[in-house]
Amino acid sequence: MPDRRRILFIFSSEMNKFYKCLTIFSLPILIVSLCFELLLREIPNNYKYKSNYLDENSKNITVLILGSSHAFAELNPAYIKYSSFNASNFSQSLEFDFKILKKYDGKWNNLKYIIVPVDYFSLYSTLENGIESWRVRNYNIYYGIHTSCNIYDNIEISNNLPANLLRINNFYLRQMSDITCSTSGWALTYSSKNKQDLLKSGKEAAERHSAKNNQYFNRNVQVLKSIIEYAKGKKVKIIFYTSPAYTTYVENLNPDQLKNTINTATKIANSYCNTVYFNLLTDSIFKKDDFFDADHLNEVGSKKFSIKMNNLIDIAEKSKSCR
Amino acid sequence: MLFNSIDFFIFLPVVFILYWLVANKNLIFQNLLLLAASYFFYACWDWRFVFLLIFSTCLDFYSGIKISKASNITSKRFWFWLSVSVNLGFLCLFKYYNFFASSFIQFIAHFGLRIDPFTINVILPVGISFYTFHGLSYIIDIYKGAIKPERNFVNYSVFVSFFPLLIAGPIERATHLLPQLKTKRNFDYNKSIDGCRQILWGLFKKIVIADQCALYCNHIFRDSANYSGSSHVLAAVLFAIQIYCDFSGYTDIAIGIAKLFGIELLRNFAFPYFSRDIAEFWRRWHISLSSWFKDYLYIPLGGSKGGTLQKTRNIFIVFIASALWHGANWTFIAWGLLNAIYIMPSIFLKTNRNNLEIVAKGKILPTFKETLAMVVTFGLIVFSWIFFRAESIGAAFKFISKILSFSLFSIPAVVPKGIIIFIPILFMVEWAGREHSHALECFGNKGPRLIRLAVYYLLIFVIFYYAGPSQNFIYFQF
Repeated sequence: MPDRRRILFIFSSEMNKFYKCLTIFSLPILIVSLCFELLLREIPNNYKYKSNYLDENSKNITVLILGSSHAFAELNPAYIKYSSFNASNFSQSLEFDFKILKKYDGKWNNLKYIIVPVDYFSLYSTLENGIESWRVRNYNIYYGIHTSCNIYDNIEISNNLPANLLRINNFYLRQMSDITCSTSGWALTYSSKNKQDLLKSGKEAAERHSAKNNQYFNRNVQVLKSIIEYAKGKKVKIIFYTSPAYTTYVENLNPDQLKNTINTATKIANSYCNTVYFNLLTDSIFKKDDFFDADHLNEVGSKKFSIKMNNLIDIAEKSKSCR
Repeated sequence: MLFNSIDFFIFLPVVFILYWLVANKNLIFQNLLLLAASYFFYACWDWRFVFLLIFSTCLDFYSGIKISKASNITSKRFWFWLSVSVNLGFLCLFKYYNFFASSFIQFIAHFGLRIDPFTINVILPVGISFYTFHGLSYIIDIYKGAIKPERNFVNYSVFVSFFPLLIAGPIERATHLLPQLKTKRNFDYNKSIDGCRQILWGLFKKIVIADQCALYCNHIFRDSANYSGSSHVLAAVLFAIQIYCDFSGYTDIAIGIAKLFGIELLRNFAFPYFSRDIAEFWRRWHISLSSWFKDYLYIPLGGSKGGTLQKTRNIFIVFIASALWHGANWTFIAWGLLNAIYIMPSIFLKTNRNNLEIVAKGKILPTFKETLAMVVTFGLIVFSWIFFRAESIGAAFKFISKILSFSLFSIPAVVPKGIIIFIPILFMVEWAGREHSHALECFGNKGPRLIRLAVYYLLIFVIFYYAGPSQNFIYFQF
C-alpha cells in the first residue's frame, strides 16, 4: 500500500503549491455551500411536511388525494367525511403519485379510496421533462423517493441562489414558514383575495398545458393502469376525475388532446371494477367567483368541490365492486 | 455535458487529478487519458456519434499517411480527395442536406413543378463543423507538404477530439497542437492559475452576461410585434453582447481548461468590439475560423491579388463559405454578404491593414477619433447580427422596419438590473486587459492579494447568483 509520502512524491512541488492554493481558495466556498445546504434542508416545506405526515399517519388515512396543483387547490380534506389527506403537490405527475403510493406500501391499513385527477395535461406530461422539473429534487430529498442520480436533483443549493437566499431570509430572519398547506395537505395559496385575471390565466395555462407531441402518453396510461392494479390488490377504489376549469381555459384547449384524455380515462375506468371516472371540466355548479385563476379553484370553489366529492365517493361505492 | 454544468465540474477535477497523478510520468498515458476523457465527454452528449468521430479520425489519419507515402500524384490526389469529400460529405449530409433540398423544392415550385424529395430528420452531431475542419486542415497541410503526417494514432486522435475544443473550437492546426501532444507536459503552476482565472472570466461572461442578455433578446426576437423600436435597438445591441460573451466565454473556458493540462490552444478572440474597422473586427473575432478560411480558401483563390473582379469574388466566396459554415439558413448567408459588403471598401482602398495593433496601446483612454471608429464599427456589426439572430430573412426585415418606426423614440422595455450593472463592468475589465491574451490575465499579479481574492470571490458569487439551469452555448449548434 503506498504511503502518504510516496503519493506526495508523485506531485511536483509546483503541483503541491497548486493543490494547496486551490484547496485554500475553494474551502470557504465549500463551507458556505455546505452551510447553505444544511440551512435549506432544515426549512420546513410542503414536501417535508407531507412526507412526515404520511410517515406517521398513512395507516389512518381512508381517502388519499393525489395529483397536481389542481387537486392541491380544490380538494380540502376538512370537508370530506372520511379521514383524508391531500398528498398532491404543484406539477406532481402521475408517476410521482404512483411512487408515493408505493413508498408507503404496507402502511395503507385503512385506505379505501384514492382520488387522482386526470386532467388535460396529465397523460401528456411528466414532471422530469416539464418546466417544473426542478421540483424532482423535493421528492429525492424530502420523500426519499430516489428517481434521479443527477446531482441537480439531489441538492438544494442547485436551485438558483436568489430563491435560496430568499428562503433563508424568510425562514431564519423573518420567521416566515415555507409551508403553504393546511394540516390535511390542502393548499392555502389559492385565496379569493388574490384572484387572478381569468382571461389571461386561461390562455396562458391552456398554452402551457397543451402538448407538442404525445411522447409521454403511453407511459402515463401505463402508470394509470399500474395505480389501478396496485389499488385493486389492496381492495381500494380509484376515483379519477377531470378538474373543473373556467371557460377561458376550456375554450383555449386543444380539442384532440382533451378528447383523447377524456376518452382514455373513460375507457380505463370502464375496464376496471375498482375505478370510476367523472368529467367535471365544465361542471355548471362552479361559477366565476369560485375560481382563483382559470384552472384553479379558490377556497369557496374548493369547499363546493370537496363537498361534491363526498357524493362522488358514494357513487363510486355503490356503482362498482370487484368480486 | 456543458462546461457550465455541475456534471462538468465533477468530470474536470477527476480527469485533472488522474492526468497529473496517475498519467504524469508517461506521455503515452497522458494522451491515452485525454483521449478516453474526450470520448467520454463526447459520449455524454450522444454516444452514437462517437463512432462518427472515430471514423473521421481514422480516415484522416490513414489518408495522411497514404498521401505522404504516395509514389505518384494520382495516388496522392486520390487519398486527398477521398478524405476531403468524405469529411465534407458528412458535414453536408448532417448540416446542409435538408436546407438545400427544401430550397430546391421552393425554387422549382416557382416554375410550377412539384417534387417530393427524400428528407432526413437527424440531429446535428455536436461539434461536427469543428472537428471536420481540424481534419481538413491536417489533410490539406500534408497534401501541400507543409507538415509530415502523424504516425501515432493516439496523438492524432487527441488532436482531433481534445475535449475542451471538441464541441466549439478553437479550430486547431496540426502545426500548433500536434507538437504539444508529442511532448510530455509538465505541470506549470503559473499557467494553471492563469487557466483558472480564464475559466472564471469565461463563466462570468457566459452565465452573468450572455444568459441574462438572452432572456431579453429572446423575448424581443420572438414577440417582435409587441415591442417598441427602441426595445428592438436595445435587443440588437444586447444580442451582439450576448453572442460575444457566449462564444468568447466558451473559448475562455476551453483555453483555460487546456492550460490546466499543460496545453496552449489558439487564441480565438482578441477583444473584437474594440475594433476600429471591419477588417480589424474580423482579425479579432473567431480568429481560428477566420484564419482557417484565409489560409485554405482566400489565399488559394488569389487573396487580395488580381483585378477588382477577382478580389470581389474572393471576398464574397470567403464570407459566404463562412456564413454556410455557421448553418444552413438564408439568414446566415445574408449576414455573410453584409459583412463582405462592409469589408470591400477597405480592401480596395488598401486600408484593411491600418489597424493591426490593439486600440490605444499603452494609453488609458482612446482618442475621440478612435472612439468614433469603434462606435461606428460596433454599430455595423450590431446591424449584421440582426440577420444572424433572426429566424428568417423576412423576420430580420420586420425587425429592422420596427427599429425604423416612430416607436424608436419611446422608452424601451425594462432591461434586467443585472445587465445594466454588469455590462459596463465587462467592458471596463476587457478594456483594461485588452493588451493581454485574456481580460483577467493582467489582473493576475497586480494589486494587493486580498483585493484580488475579494474580486475572485465576488465573481464566483455573481456566477452562482445568476446560474440557472445550464444554458447551451450558441456555437454548439454549429
